Amino acid sequence: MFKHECYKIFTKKSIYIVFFLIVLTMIYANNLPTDMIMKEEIYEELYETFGGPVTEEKGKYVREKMRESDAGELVDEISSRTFEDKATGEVHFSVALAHMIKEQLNERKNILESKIENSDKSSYEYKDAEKELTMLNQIDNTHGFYLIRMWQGMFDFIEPATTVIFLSVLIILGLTPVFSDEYTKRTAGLILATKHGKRKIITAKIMAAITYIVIVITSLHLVNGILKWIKHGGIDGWNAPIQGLSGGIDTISMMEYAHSPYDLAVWELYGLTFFLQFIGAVVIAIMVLFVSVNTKNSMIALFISGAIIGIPFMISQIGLDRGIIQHLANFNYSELIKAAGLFEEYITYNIFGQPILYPTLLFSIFGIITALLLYFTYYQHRNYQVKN
Amino acid sequence: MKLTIENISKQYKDKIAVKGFSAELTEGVYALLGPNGAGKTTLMRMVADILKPTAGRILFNDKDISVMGDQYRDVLGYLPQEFGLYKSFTATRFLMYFASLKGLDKKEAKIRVQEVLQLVNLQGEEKRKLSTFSGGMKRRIGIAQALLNDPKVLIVDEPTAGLDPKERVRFRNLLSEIAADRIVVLSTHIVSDIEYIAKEVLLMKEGELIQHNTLESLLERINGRVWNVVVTKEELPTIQREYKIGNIQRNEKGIEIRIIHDTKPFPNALQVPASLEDVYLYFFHEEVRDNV
Ligand SMILES: Nc1ncnc2c1ncn2[C@@H]1O[C@H](COP(=O)(O)OP(=O)(O)OP(=O)(O)O)[C@@H](O)[C@H]1O
Ligand SMILES: [Mg+2]
Repeated sequence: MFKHECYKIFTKKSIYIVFFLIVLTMIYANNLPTDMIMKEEIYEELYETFGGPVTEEKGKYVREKMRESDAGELVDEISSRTFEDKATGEVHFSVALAHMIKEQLNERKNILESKIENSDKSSYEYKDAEKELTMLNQIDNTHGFYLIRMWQGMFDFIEPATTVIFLSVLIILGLTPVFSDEYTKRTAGLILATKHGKRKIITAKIMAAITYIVIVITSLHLVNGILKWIKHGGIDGWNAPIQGLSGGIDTISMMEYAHSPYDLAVWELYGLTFFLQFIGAVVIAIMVLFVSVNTKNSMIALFISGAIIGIPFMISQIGLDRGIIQHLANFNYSELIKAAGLFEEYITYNIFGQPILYPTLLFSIFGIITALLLYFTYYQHRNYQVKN
Repeated sequence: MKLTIENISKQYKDKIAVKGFSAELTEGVYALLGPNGAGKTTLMRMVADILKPTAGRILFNDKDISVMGDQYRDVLGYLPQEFGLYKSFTATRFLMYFASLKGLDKKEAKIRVQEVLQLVNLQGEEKRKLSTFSGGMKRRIGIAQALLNDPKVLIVDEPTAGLDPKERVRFRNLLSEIAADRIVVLSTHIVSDIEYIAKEVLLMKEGELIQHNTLESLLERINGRVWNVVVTKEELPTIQREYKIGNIQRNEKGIEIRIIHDTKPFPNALQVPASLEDVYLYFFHEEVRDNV
């Protein structure tokens, strides 16, 4: 049964066309110029000197150097600078930035410590500050300059917004027909009269949907990985802390992990991103299947599921996210597959007096929603009445 | 084995499609006859467990089918009047898919698929995509699907619609062969389909069961009321308005018509033996006349 349900999904031509277009877009974006690609040997030399966690010495040194070159620039033409000069300047800048962020981190820790001292042990403020401080203490020696290659672009397909668009278009296109086609194409009457046509078939359909998603996500990551590998040349930096990812300098994506409170290595964040994106996509798939089981027309199902993902996504993209709408912007389906943003900052919510981390809360909420939708999907199909 | 339909009704928003239908069915072929819109399809859907009755219940061996659920559908074979097929599937894939829906294991399924393909005379076409099938072939693959699990209860809604005469005979023979140890409910407008195989005939009119009898006793009821008479072209319209008219045949003597009437309608009318078609006309004359 499962095999044939997969066959139904994978014989839709439209998904291949869209996948092909997405790959073309990714190739195109991969070839857009970015400020800096740390491919040349010079960066390895610089890494020898400046790499790893920033120290007071390194910090002072690069600041000195930058002051010197700033002064020099007034005299020299910028165009006359050699590539080496430029690269050195960029690395100096990175180290200086890391140094600054580390100082900010220490300041933040001081604030938290005084907060902890001055607040009631049972108060939410206390718990929240303590939680943040514990996390920050674990990333003490992470900020610095790291030579990170292909990983720079591995967290998004082009950038967060396109990641959401690519994934949701593929999910919606592939999965909206799963139930609604059975009703419109009048195969439901045959299916529902069979032994397993009311219950087991749904399990088979969900498994097929998950298989589809595994294949979609894996192949997109694979294509993206190959492109990034070609562009950045190598897998170095896999073990660096995520605070060393340089958002926006050598990728189009503006991810910003410098301020992240999470103690994660690059490969761990990648694994986590991949896993959560998969879970998020499955959660979306269940929503799409729920819409599909409730509509007798694939086109309508397509629009409804598109709107469920798209409207909150658009609100947060346009920046209308204020007040109550802000919650909608933070807790919606697109955030689940965006992956970016989940681990960039310390964000907690007060849930019954306990500080809960944003990613935990986001996935918990959608876990509950998904369980309900699953139940109603089974219920709806089982009780579908063949009337025409 | 018995299937009990207990006072079943189905009401759509503004339309009562089936009204207090009761019948007890055992092994054999039951022919469900009735004009368009009589409620045959609606009734069969309820028996096939894909439509909930508004009132009443259906029992299989004294157990409510809505409680039995999977267990009941395990012994059920159903061919809808209208249904869709997966266009990208081949005949084999389609049948293998339904075999798995019906809980056959793979080895069993492979053998059974070949068997049912043979039964509906589609062997040799099994590798073809269903999108290339003709109407009659689609109907036959639907029949094949219904037979996959060797059902104890077989519900077939106008199974012969679109079949050529050869395939119709084939299907009729198939049914009479398999009906010995199962309950078959068949609806049709083609009366000759059931003439020799139906154990009992169920006549439906406006949602109600108006007759439930063996073919013999139905024929008995109208015996002596079927007449053959030759008329002229000019006489025909008035006769058509006043009598229940069956076959009209033009031959060298004039126009030969079949009239169903309690008494001899014309002096030159000849009494002839009744057929199931006459039974149909006798009970559904108004509908027939309206449709002309
Ligand atoms: N979904 C529906 N909503 C409202 N009325 C319906 C619906 N389906 C069927 N009906 C009505 O119920 C009645 C019975 O329809 P049904 O299809 O059961 O008749 P039938 O005996 O199978 O006719 P046919 O010989 O044309 O197949 C008809 O009057 C029809 O208009
Ligand atoms: Mg019908």
